[in-house]
Amino acid sequence: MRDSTRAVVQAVGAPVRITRETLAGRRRPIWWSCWGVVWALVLWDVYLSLDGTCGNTWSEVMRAASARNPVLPWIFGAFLVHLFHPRDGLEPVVDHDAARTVMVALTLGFVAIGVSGVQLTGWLMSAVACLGMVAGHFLWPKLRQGEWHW
Amino acid sequence: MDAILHLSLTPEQARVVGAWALVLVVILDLLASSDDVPFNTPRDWLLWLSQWKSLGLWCKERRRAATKGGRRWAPFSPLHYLPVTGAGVPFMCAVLVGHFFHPGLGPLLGPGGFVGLASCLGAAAVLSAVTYFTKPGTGQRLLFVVALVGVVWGALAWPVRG
Repeated sequence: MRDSTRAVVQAVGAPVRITRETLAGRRRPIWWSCWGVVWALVLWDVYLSLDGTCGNTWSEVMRAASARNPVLPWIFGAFLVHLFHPRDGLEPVVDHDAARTVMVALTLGFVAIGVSGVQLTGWLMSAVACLGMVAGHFLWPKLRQGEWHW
Repeated sequence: MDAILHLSLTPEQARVVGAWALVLVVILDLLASSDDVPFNTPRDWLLWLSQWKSLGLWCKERRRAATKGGRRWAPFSPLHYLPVTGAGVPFMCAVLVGHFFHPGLGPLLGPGGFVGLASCLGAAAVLSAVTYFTKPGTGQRLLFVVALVGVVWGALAWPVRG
């Protein structure tokens, strides 16, 4: 085992304060990269919304892309409730393998609809996002949100 | 500034840039998932930001962190007590989903729809503040409701230009 790996493994089993100090430095690059991407996109979006060109903000681009690719609202809806659900230890309504199979099958189904050239219009786009939320809630709950070694 | 950085984009260029930004986030997630450091993926950061901490719990943690070096008192910084996490984060994520995926409900109020956006940010700030006065257990039970309200709020208050 590498020294760095051993340090992390030992830290995870250590009291919370030691763990936080050990892991903080190793988490920093990903943390700053994530914040960099998010803030760059937010500031750029403000600029794009004020530059006078129609249809070039991220939301307009996403909406236009979603009309042709129903898998986008499906995935975003499912992912939202996958992360934010009511409690830890929430199990899928069917067993894990079946739930995974159904989610993958539905995702592939929406990919196929997009490939076949069907356009989502009106409330259909919202309906697909809501369907993703319902499916994500019942079939794909994150097992543990929990307290971590922060 | 645009002459130097070329920040203005056509819708086609914006689509490409947006797609690459999503790919970048996925790559970061894969990198973070495959290393030996636990809980450092973008999803983990998001969940960390949405952790529900009551005021008492938060103050206790800050005091413990500030006094761990043998000091007998905690240096006060208002930043330690800002209600920036909790319910506001899942609410804003849900607002984005509602904002992105709706049928185009009407004209935006203000350039870029800033009136609707301001209402969303205000509601998120209120929710974050409310986080301080409810117990963490109660908070997690409410996360799903917060997300649902956020989706509806984002669709109704902050529509995309039709």
